[in-house]
Amino acid sequence: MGSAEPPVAEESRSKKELVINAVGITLTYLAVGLLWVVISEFALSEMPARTLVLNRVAFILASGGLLYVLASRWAGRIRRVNQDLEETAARAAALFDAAAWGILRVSPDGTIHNANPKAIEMFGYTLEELIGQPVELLIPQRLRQGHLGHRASFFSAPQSRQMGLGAELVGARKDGGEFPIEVSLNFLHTIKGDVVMAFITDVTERLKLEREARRGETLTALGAIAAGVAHELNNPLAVVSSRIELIMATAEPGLSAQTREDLEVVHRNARRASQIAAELLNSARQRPVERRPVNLNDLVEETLRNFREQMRRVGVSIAVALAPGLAPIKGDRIALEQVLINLLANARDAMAAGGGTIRIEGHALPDRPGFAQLSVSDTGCGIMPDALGHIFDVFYTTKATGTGLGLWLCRRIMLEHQGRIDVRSEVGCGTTFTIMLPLAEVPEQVRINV
Amino acid sequence: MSDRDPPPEWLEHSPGGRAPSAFSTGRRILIVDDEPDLAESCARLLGLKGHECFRAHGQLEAMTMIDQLVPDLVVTDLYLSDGDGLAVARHARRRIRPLPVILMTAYHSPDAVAAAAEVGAVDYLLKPFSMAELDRAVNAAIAPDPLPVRAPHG
Ligand SMILES: Nc1ncnc2c1ncn2[C@@H]1O[C@H](COP(=O)(O)OP(=O)(O)OP(=O)(O)O)[C@@H](O)[C@H]1O
Ligand SMILES: [Mg+2]
Repeated sequence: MGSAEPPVAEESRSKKELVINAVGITLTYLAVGLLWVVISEFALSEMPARTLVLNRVAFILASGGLLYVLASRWAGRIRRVNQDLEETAARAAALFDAAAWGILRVSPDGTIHNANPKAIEMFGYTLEELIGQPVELLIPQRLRQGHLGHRASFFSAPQSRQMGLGAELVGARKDGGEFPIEVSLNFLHTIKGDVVMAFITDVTERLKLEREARRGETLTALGAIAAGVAHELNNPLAVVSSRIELIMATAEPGLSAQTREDLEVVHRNARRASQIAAELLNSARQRPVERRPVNLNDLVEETLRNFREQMRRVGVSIAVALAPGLAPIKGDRIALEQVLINLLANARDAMAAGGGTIRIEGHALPDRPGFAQLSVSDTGCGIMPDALGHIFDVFYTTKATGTGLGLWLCRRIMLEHQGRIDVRSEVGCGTTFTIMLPLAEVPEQVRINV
Repeated sequence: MSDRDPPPEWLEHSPGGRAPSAFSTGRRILIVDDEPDLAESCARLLGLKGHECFRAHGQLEAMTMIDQLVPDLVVTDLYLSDGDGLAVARHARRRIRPLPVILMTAYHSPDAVAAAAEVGAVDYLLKPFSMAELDRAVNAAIAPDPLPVRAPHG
């Protein structure tokens, strides 16, 4: 019946139906009964032989009529109930098909019995591939064993609930890709047996937004710290540099050239210290980066000049393979140098035990015209898969003396350049960081496409 | 002096590179900074240029000195430990004959630049500044036709 109808109307109508039913049955019964009485009276006086027959006929008619009325009423009822059921089923099917959740119907032994289109889309399997498979198919290999235990305990005390509250649940696609999910379990006890309906939401986007928001808060906090640090640092530095200028301005002419030079060095470095601090603090704030053509090959060579010797001392060799004549990219030289230094420092730290090789490669990207790529690979300890998602987080560090700012800053700088930074790593083999930067001049064929 | 700063002008004019101690511009400058060492640096260096300098280390002290001394120029830090250097600047600007003001700050932020523009400061110096920069700013401020406020470079 119409789902829009309020339950009160439904109830009063079924009462009315009952009354009509009762009246109909009573009237039929009275009419037939009357007929029977009249006929039997008439027959009784005339021909008693026929009375029996007539009586019986009348009785059959009466019962038949009564049965007919009852049966038609019941048939109507049943038809309506069936309609209701069909509609409910259709509505459920529509929900199942169009729901924003992925929905799985799972039996107590963990076998998938049905999956809706959203679930199919989410996990990348076809319906046929899913049906009959254990649900563990849909979580990463390394978590399967643990899930078996959870499932057993769930069915021993079934209860509809949110799954894995507090823990992070991970789904695995057919192609091996993993994504964070949220699952709510609904236990149904049916005559065909117990089933669980699992409602699955892909929370990748939501988590990303949450992470962005948290990052934003950290930035604001860093902005406040930056103001404080700048004040505490620049005032003493101003005292140092101004006093040196005073000494130089008021000194007797006898001030030796050497002393003069020493003072100048101190002075220059006081100002440099404040510039470095400003640079660091600026990157904590939203600073517009400079956009000048930067030659990546020069950048690498120049940065390495200060690093080679230091690396050699700790047993790290550096191999450089730069495509000659690589077109300049568009960016902030100082910021990019900082990115490179951070990556080199991390690579060195990763190879602290026993040395190794850092390989720097740079080339244009044939499949992405308008971009150049630079990669820094090491043969160090590598990064655990579950840490990979965190290394760009601010303050994330596994080093006793690390700040956890290095990669965070790299990522920020790359974002400000409309570039990107990616990482690939294998524990025990090494790590490769790849940065991608827009070229200063967009190549011809791209401009035509645009 | 960093390599890039040109030598102070008086160095070129006075033989032996010494400040002519008797020389006086007759200008009176109030320097306000809660860091006494820095206020002293500025006062002594500007003194070498022949200006008469006074020092204040707090907001109230500075305002009182503005009223009593009526200097030709106020050089104040934006941040004072007992309050806001902007209040000092406003106090100097609110006089019947507004005094030129130079702001100093250890922290370059868009807010600070906006504040400098709002009070009508002649210049805005980012710490640590060189004495050549300070000298340039002071000369521009006490010149008859003060330059409009400009963003710092650096
Ligand atoms: N090349 C690498 N090999 C292995 N692990 C790495 C590599 N680069 C980064 N990591 C991991 O990522 C973490 C974060 O790096 P990040 O540069 O942000 O901070 P950090 O190096 O620990 O601190 P800081 O940069 O201040 O020295 C490191 O602590 C380390 O665990
Ligand atoms: Mg690092």
